[in-house]
Amino acid sequence: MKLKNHLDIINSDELLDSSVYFSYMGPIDQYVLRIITDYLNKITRRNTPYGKKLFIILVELLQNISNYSAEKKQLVEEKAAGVGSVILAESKNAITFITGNLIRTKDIVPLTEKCSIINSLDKKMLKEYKKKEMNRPFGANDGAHIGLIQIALSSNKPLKTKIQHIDNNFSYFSITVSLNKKDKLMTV
Amino acid sequence: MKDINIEGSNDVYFVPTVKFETESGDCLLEGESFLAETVKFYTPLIEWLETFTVQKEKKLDFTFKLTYFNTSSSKCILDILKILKRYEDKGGDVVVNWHYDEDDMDMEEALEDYIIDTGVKINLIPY
Repeated sequence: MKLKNHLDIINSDELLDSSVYFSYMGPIDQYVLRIITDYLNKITRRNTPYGKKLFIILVELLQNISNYSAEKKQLVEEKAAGVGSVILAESKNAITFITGNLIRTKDIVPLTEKCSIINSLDKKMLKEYKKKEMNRPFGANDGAHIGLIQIALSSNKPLKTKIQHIDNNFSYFSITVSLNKKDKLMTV
Repeated sequence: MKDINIEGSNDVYFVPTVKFETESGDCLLEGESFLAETVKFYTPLIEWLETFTVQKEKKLDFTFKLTYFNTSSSKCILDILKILKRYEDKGGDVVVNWHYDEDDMDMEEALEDYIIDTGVKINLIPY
């Protein structure tokens, strides 16, 4: 992944009037995931239902990168960690997460189809869909889909995704999730 | 059958506390569940429950005090609830209590979905 990909997502329209709380690019192993989610918890009061909702969404977004990014790095853990980007920003009315990672060209169609299915369903149907996916045995399906369904359910919004072509083998996949603020969340 | 005792931790991962007692049939799953290898963690718990519900003809009193679980943990919890339902269906005495924060609507909704999806009776106990 190139720094350009990261800068492109920082440069997105969603963040024009936002202040960025953190921005990270690199391998997302469990330690990094923990640092980022701990930071979120400090600034959003995780013990509130809304803070917890943000936490749930961020964990699923980060795990998607960690498990499914097409670029991996072997670090302290035995398992190689997926490389990607994450940004947390706050605007007047919303908290926004943007994440991005490389995907292989062959995965573009299945991934976009999956996102289209998720975005075509209302809440009740999404729950049915999640139930169907959860009832499959482990290994029989791509676990990332349940995470994507959960993100759509928790945010109560369609998935906002973007795919940018890089070369014949890879593209850059990004997801933007915004949650309207219900009260003053940031306590720093 | 041996008891299962796992001390929960919250350093790099969120490991729930597990207490499964063979003698009393009391089971507790408490804390937060977000693990490195979810299936590896839950498999012995699922196997314990399967053995208990086949070998024993005793009451199974399952208390959940989970406050957070990620999606892969939620799949394992679903598998646990399915075992409890099967035990109940064949005449086993099962009580399932789930303690949750009354302000946590997402949790309440997730629990109601578990009840619908598995058919198991879960006593929802808000605090």
